[in-house]
Amino acid sequence: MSRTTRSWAGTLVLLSLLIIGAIALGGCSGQPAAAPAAEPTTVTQAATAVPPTEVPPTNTTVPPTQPPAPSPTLAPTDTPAPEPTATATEAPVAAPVVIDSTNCITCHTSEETLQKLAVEEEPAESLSEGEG
Amino acid sequence: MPPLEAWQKVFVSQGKFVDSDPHAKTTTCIQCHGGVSGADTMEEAHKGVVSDPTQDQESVGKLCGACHAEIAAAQVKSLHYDSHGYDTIVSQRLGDAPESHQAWEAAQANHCSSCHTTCGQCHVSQPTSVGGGLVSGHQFKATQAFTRTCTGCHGSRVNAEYTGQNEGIPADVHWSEGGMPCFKCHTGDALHGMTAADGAANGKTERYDGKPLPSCLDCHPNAEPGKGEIQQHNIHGGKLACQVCHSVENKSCYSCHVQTSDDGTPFFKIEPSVMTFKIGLNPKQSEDRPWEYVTLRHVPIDPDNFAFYGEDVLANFDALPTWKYATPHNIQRNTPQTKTCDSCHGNADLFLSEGDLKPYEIEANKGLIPTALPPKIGQ
Repeated sequence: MSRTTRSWAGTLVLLSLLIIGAIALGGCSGQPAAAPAAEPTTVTQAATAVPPTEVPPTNTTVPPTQPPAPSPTLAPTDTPAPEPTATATEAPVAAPVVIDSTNCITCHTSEETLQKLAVEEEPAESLSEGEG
Repeated sequence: MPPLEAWQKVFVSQGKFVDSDPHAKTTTCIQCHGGVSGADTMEEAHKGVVSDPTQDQESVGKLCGACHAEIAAAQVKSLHYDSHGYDTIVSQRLGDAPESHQAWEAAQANHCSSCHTTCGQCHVSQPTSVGGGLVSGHQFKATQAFTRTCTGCHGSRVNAEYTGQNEGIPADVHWSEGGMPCFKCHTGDALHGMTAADGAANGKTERYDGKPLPSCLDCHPNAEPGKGEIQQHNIHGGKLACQVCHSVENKSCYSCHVQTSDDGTPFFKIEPSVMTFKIGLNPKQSEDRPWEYVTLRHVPIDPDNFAFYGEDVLANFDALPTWKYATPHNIQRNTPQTKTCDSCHGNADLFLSEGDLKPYEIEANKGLIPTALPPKIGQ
């Protein structure tokens, strides 16, 4: 092998390694790499909620594209409450409670059981006189 | 009413109810009747059980009304649901004093308020007032046998007349010839009090309030004067109620006195009934009931009916007659009245007169006694 040929071969091997490395870094998926998570930002505390000197709660972080959460207020507003709409986010309705009546049916459909248990009422002596 | 043994009264049919009745598919025993699910003893299982869950207005709306809203809404205002029909009549005779009204309220609570029916006591069981008991294994029936429901309450007078149980008096032709049960004439709408426009509650204050329901003309339209070929209908039809010619002796009652025993048990004492046939002037003459002459029967009122509850309770006794507009249930095509013209014309025995009245009721009935009898015709 001549010196020139060896030099070309070395260059090819180096290029191949670079390509393989690039593919490996790209995940072989053809999809774009995940964007880095947005830096969380803290909502500016509303003046009516807490004093400005107080440390904001950490659980009020929202993505930068979302509008800030409305500040809580104790005063009534004129804004009408939104009409309830049936959406996928609506809380599921509790399933109706089914009261088991198996025992009732078991006894009350059994002539034998009823004949054993049913008690004839003593007819009360009527003080009434004449046709009713 | 056929007697039922204790076990028969509560027997539920697997085939007729549990497996096939739509009501068994839509609710459970406990949802309607209460009680305790999964109990180990009969006593515990029956805690809080209500045998007839349609006894109060709220339950009727919640249970029956869930599917039968219009019927349930009308039924609780109907004459069948409570005793407001009695109240309409008796309260007219009460005195002005508050004690008079208080006495009637006490008497009504003891003796009258239990006389009503519920959804269940017509469609599922026999009426409670005659011992109750499931009729067909708890199967809900739109119409039960009238002998297990209607005649439980309307037995001693209407049933006896209709089915011919009064000695020597024939049964009503609609029964003896037609075999017609009550429901053939008395429709569901009428029984539920739904005869106002569009099936709304009719608001009847007593049985003969408003138009006749049913009316004979509903099935016999040609009997209306001028619409048929029967001469007597064309001559008399506008002046005489149908029953004047086509009913026979029926039951009159006298003096039902009510009181309670020392332990508070209500009871009554009534004089023996009398079979009568009396024609008189129409005490309810109106556009709806225009006839001049109607049949009358004596109702068991007298000035001392409620004397146990107070003095002079019926201070306004003369406000209503003691012989009442009547529609006897013993209709015949041919009766003693239809034999000849003079069966009625000039026949004083058929018409109410002072001779039929006790001294204390003469004033109350003055408006019913014809001033002159229809003259004899000689035929």
